[in-house]
Amino acid sequence: MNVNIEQTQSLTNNEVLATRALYYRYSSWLLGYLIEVVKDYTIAEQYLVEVFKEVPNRLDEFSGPQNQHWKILRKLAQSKLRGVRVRDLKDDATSPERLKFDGFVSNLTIEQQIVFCGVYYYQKSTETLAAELNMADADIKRMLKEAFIMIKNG
Amino acid sequence: MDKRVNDFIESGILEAFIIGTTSEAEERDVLQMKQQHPAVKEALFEIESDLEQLAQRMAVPPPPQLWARIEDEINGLTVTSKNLPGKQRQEQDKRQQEQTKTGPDYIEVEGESSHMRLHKAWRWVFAAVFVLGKIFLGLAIYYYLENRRVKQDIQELKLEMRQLKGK
Repeated sequence: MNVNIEQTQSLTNNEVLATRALYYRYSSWLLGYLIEVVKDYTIAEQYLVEVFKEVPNRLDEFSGPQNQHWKILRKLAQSKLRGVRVRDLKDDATSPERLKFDGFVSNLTIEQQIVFCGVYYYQKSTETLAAELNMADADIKRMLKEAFIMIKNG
Repeated sequence: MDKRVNDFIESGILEAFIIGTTSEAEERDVLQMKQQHPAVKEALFEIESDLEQLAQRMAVPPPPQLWARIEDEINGLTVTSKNLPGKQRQEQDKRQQEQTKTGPDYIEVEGESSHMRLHKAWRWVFAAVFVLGKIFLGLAIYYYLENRRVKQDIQELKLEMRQLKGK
């Protein structure tokens, strides 16, 4: 069996406690996000474990303002998801069955959903979406802005 | 507010920046505008808060024992194939194991215990062997003594015959 046994760097109690605090605050947010991307609870849970296993080694990044924590965790998750996006979601990131979201997102128009989900969940640049949807980059950005406003207002 | 700043905020570039999908040039623009205009900084903060609210509304609580599992993994040994999340890793390891399987499907081990366990049915076999052993021992002693007595009788008869011949 081709396995690699790694000894993780030993961590201090404080590092584990700090990671646990982040876990209890953000794990449900992150799991909700991951489920929307991979569309599978078990796989999303695995990614959640992978993300929080890496957090103790990146605690210095969390020393900034608290409103940045979610952004950092989301980016960490996105870096873990990079492979899965290329492999599984290449062609169907905008298909109707992939766009099953709760009431907040389903209030958007189809185009707004495609833009918002393409950018937020599948990390597509507005340029890429503009090329895919045969629209101008400025229009895609405007639709993204509109989607944000609609989600905010419910 | 300056129209240029307002147009910049309304363009949607700040949302793309917060999500992290802007190009390097756009990123530089946003950071520059953020430094120069407090309104841009404020708008960025507001978008980040909106994203937090969205994440909060779409949250899914993880299973209660998951933190214990993560804690175990970050504190101790982890068995991994690098750069793959768990499920994919398990599947890949399983596939590789099947492909490379050539030898017998068991692990050779050497038992350290000096004892052995037997099925209970064997006790009747051992009891039968014990009883038969006793019977054969008794018979052996009996035939030995009988044989010795017969030999003595023969010796006595031979002696009597010699005495009779001598007369």
